[in-house]
Amino acid sequence: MTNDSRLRNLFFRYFFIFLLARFFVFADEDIFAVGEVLEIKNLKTAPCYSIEAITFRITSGIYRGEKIQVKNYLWDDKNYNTYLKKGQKAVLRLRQFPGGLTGSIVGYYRQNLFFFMLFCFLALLFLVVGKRFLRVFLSIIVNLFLFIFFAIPFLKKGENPPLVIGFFIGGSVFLTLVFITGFSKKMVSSFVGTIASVLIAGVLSFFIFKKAHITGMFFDGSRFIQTAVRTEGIKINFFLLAISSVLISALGVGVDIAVSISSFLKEFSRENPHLNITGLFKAGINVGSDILATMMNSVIFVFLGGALPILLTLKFCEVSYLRVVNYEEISALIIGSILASSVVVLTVPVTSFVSARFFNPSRSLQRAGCLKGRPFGINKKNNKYVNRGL
Amino acid sequence: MKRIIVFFVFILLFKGYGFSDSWVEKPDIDFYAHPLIENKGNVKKVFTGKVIIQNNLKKVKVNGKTMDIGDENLYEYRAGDRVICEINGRVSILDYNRSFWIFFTVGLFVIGVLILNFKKGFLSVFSLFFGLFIFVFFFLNFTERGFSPLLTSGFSVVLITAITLFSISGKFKKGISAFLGAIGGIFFGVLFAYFFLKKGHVWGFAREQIQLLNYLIKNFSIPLKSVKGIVLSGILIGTAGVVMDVAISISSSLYEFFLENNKISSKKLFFYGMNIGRDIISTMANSLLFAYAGSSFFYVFAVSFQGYSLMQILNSEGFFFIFVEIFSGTSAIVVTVFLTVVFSSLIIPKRSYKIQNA
Repeated sequence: MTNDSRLRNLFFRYFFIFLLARFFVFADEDIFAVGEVLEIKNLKTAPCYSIEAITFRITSGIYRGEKIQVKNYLWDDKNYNTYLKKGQKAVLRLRQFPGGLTGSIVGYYRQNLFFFMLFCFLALLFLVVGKRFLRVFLSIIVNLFLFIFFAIPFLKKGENPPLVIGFFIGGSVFLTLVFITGFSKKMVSSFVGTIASVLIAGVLSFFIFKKAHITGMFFDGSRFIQTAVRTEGIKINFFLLAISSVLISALGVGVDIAVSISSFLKEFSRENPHLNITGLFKAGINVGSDILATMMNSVIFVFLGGALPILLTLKFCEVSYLRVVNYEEISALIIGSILASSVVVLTVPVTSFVSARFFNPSRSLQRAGCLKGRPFGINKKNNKYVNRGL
Repeated sequence: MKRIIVFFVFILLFKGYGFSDSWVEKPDIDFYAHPLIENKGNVKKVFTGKVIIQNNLKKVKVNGKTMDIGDENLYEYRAGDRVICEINGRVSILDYNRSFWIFFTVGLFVIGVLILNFKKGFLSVFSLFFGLFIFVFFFLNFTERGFSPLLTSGFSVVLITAITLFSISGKFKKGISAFLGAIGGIFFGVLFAYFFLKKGHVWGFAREQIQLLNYLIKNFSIPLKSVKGIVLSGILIGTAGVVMDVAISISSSLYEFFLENNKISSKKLFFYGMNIGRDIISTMANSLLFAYAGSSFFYVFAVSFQGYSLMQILNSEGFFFIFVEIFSGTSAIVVTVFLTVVFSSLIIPKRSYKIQNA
């Protein structure tokens, strides 16, 4: 085994142990349990709604085996109802009162469906990608883990969002790069390229959001966060949260471009050792702009997809165009998506510059005590290799 | 003043049970007081103005005339702010005027892209904005007239994909193979999402925007029938952006192989294409994840306050919807890779009876 892969294996082993420990030590904030429907009784039928009394037998957690009766409210709008049949499972939220156990229905039991979705996805990956499918899947899972178990709990405690998200971004980029490229010069140059462009875009978005008076209070869930946080007395800075959301969305695409440019420049510098830093930089920019041409669509279209309901609502409410565009949510989406794409645009020159410096052969030749940056190859007169090995 | 009171009453009445499937009380009971719904049918002309201080009083300068302020909505406005307002005897300030900063950001972005590479950058920026304009125009206008939102967004996505791919690739063979692969991948992604959303009884109703749209559908005579189409259209357009990139990368790379060797066989192209595709999948897998996490960041953060145990994460409606988005998008990428390689290896190699280098 090479040194590189041995180091990588060790790293993964300890990282996964750490992740698993975190996973099991994770404390529940509320008591959720899975219950199986035993019996459904119709309690009340009114013109707008009806109430069912459903008896559950709890099948998970500390209250396993107990029976509990819960009210299920059925409204005239189908979408706000949970329709349950005998033998079906549901998720309950339980509360222990002095008189006994009470609770409410949270919703359908989707765990099995979630794992089935994972399985279908893995099967598809395996069919197309082959043996390396686990690597792809693990990189997604690791990033999800980092986000759900590290970034969000710290944000909930009220810590400074750019700091938390900065650590999350740094950690996730580092892990993704270790998966894709391994510990090498390529990794370092991609890492530096992504982080530098994210920093620049962060500063830019701070300036622009401040000037455009985007407070972060009018997003999809901001009102809920406000009310939830008020009871606990934590201060959350919505403005910094808005900036962090822009940076996160730029991350994935930025890593992709950085890796492409670094790998390309590594091979290219080996093929053309006579090029100096400027030549490598120019080649990197050419390739980068080719990749950029299609990749900048991705972030903007994803943001647009998330904004479709609000756009349609505003259209139906006959709000004038000027007001729609200046609505905080819409303008934050537009500015945010363009800024996230700007991270992608910034990554190209920054990564080209860093990779050009790293893979510049004349420098390493100088260090090896060989030719001072002169072109090398086979000496045609006596057929001897002139290069001393890079 | 009335609008401020109504707005704050709306905030107080919003109980926030709203992130689970079973509702103790219908969430849209209070929506009649929502500021947007209040505005419906009440169209007034909107002006742009600037806040100035005159005689120690805040006034607004609109079209050269200085006017008194009737009421201020949503924020505390200061001198020098550009605002938009309605005029009703007195000026009623609606919101900040952010148009300048929107144009500033867009301009910065376009200049950055053009600096890197003028010709290609111009084509890509043009196709991006043209595509956005087409989508928004088609989707909003035709959905308002009663066409199914899924059909209109599907049609506009096909149009946008065709324009982008053919304008960027330049050669017909590259463009058509990328186009076919992209369309197949997007179609599969939407099917995947529809299947799992239907089985999980999740139609995005944990999001307030969709609740509002549903309220509009039920209580006002709007040609739109249900919200399911909107949700799927959102997933459709989100997937389309990423899939286009994958398709064009693969078909361009395979076309380069063809340029090197005219007589390359379909089988070899398929083999090389799958190798390239594997690398592309492993790097693209994360980009979709982060793009969705960033766009629904506030929503995920809000849902996390409502119970954050593993059971809630795996079962709750809000999280399940996000997971379906992410996994359907990534499956669409995987299928696109496969289909693009298949189509490229069939279309690109030289055949005696096909048009050469169209």
